[in-house]
Amino acid sequence: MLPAVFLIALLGVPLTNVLQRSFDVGASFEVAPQLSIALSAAGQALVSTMLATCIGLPIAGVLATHSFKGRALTQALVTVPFVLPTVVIALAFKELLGSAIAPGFFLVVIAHTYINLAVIVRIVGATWQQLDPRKVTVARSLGASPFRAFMTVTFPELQASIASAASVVFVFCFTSLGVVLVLGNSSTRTLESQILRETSLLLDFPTAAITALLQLALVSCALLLGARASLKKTSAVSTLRFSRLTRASSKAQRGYIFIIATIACSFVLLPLLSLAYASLHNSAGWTFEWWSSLASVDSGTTRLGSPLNAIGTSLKYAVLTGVIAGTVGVCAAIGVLTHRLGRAVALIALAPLGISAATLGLGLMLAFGRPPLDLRGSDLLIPIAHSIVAVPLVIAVVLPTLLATDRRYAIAASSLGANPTRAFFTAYGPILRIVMIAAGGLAACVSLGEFGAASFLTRSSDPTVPVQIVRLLQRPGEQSFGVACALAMVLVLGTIALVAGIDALGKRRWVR
Amino acid sequence: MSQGLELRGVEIGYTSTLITANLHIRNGITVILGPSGCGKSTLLSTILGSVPALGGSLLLNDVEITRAPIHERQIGMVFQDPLLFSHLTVLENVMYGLRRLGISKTLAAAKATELLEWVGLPGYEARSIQELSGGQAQRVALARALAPEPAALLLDEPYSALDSQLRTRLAAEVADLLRSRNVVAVHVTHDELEARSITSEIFRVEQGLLSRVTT
Repeated sequence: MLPAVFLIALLGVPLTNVLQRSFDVGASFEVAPQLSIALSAAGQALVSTMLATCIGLPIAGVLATHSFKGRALTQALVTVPFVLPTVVIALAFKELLGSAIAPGFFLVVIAHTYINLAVIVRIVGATWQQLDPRKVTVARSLGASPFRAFMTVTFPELQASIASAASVVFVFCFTSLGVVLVLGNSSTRTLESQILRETSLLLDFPTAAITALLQLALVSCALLLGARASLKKTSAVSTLRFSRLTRASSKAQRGYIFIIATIACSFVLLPLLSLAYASLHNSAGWTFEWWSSLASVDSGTTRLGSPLNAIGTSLKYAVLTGVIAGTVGVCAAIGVLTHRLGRAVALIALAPLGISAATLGLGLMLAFGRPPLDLRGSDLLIPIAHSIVAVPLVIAVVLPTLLATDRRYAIAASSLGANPTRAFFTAYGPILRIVMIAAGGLAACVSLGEFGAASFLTRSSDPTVPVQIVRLLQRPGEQSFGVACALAMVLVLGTIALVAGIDALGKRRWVR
Repeated sequence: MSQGLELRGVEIGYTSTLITANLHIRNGITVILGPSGCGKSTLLSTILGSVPALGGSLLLNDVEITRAPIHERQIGMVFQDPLLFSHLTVLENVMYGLRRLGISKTLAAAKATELLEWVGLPGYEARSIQELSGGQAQRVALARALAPEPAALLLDEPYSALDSQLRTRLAAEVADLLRSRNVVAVHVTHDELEARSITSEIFRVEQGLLSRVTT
């Protein structure tokens, strides 16, 4: 019940506040423009999802099944884009491809693919790691080529996690804001950017509320389809083989792994290198000026606080988010397995995916940013908002893994006299330890990169890193841009360290 | 013309050689005995092609297959676990290899049904994998491996998960079934009693070499 109470109280109340203030729609309202935007956003999201899945699957396969030099680094690199602020990624792509490609559909799709690659690799990879590689060997011995063996044996077993990951990616692309604002044009608007336009430019709150409701309905449909597919257990995996990585046994395999790992690393690194270049370069040539300005309140950052303080603030919020979202998300996933109302809890927990971060931030500010319950001074408001954003992701990571675990171990434990709780932890305990660390870490990463809700809730003297970056970018001049790039690079490097640390910790715990 | 499966100085192992195998199986079943970890499963994986040979050459019916990919070797394998494809029914599992040969669905289904009868599971066609017992699942795995009529069959302790009574009975039954179909087979086990219930052609892994066990 913990996840249900958490989400109903901290999501339901803010949304009620927003809706109460914005349901007064006028007679002049027309739904056609909103539907047109929804259609074009759905097309863009579909292409982005398909591209992310096509690129992500081979990477997930290589990382989940093979041991090779540079594997941990590749895995960390692939995860990094997802946790970076979307505005920073959009700027990196503009810097990298902006001179060759005009803003519009192609740039938006490429940036969305880049951001969401980690969702496919992490979610599908977690399931892939548990598949018995000998089944593919059996298929091969029965005459199936490597591709045919993948399509007839591996792919069916991965379908649930692919559906789960793809639905999450679709929703992220469909509700994209930062990328669309920086890299899009009038034909690539999303309902999210339309809500922003209606609230900030047109000041038409009733229409913005209707647009938000339309977005919520469409997103709910996409998520329901994804949840239905992922809850359909396609495989009774009898033998779990965690982290059973094999070395390439032939030159062809080594070549394939090298090519996939190189493509993955290049795709991730190119925009980041472009960002790094911008952080070390000014109009006169190479410089460390932007990096040396990080500890200073000068250099274009006056009134915004020191960038170093922003890093401390972001780290504090990330730890709190990891604990809150990890606990709530794992409890919700366990609820799906063990409670008769588990699926309802999971659906409630997935609801934040359909609610834009900006709407969430505004709602929390209205509900808990003023008396009688003012949480602004407690350092809890932003971690709560980030946890609400991160919980669906935690569930998407944890649930397929728990569903793939053989329930018969719990039955066996019960038959030996263990009470239900003991039996559950006997069967699921070992894997829970790993997924809780991974889930908490992923939630912390989400917190580090989240911008939408934080922009509403952050205190002007105590901003998070993404908010600080955007504030810097809004100020004209080379200096602000350079410091923003340096700050973004700090986030990039910190995230790589965090993800690699989570991976190493997870492995060590399992060995014990 | 040299029929059967021939291993000419095949060096078996991942990074260093565990076994150097010289063996010629012309027909029937040959058992390889050895303790856990001696490399006998790796020997089967090398014959199958999932682990490359570190040296030597492998021939099947006089054709060099040392570097051939798994799906072109015409060698079937039954593992310790049945490893049935859980998204397919019993019949679809047995049909899998036949469909890869380009055989039509109708013909493949007919042949798979016949094989299921042969392994003593008539009427199990539409069942899901989860409904089978350990022994039944292993029989389906055997039918699936034999369906595309491989030139050789490898059995990697296929009955180790079963109780000893069932194991001995099933091992003898399957050996008879394989002999009746004239299949060249290599059966790996650590259980000497099981080995003797199958065949008199027994080799033991000793100090990295295969030596014949006299009976």
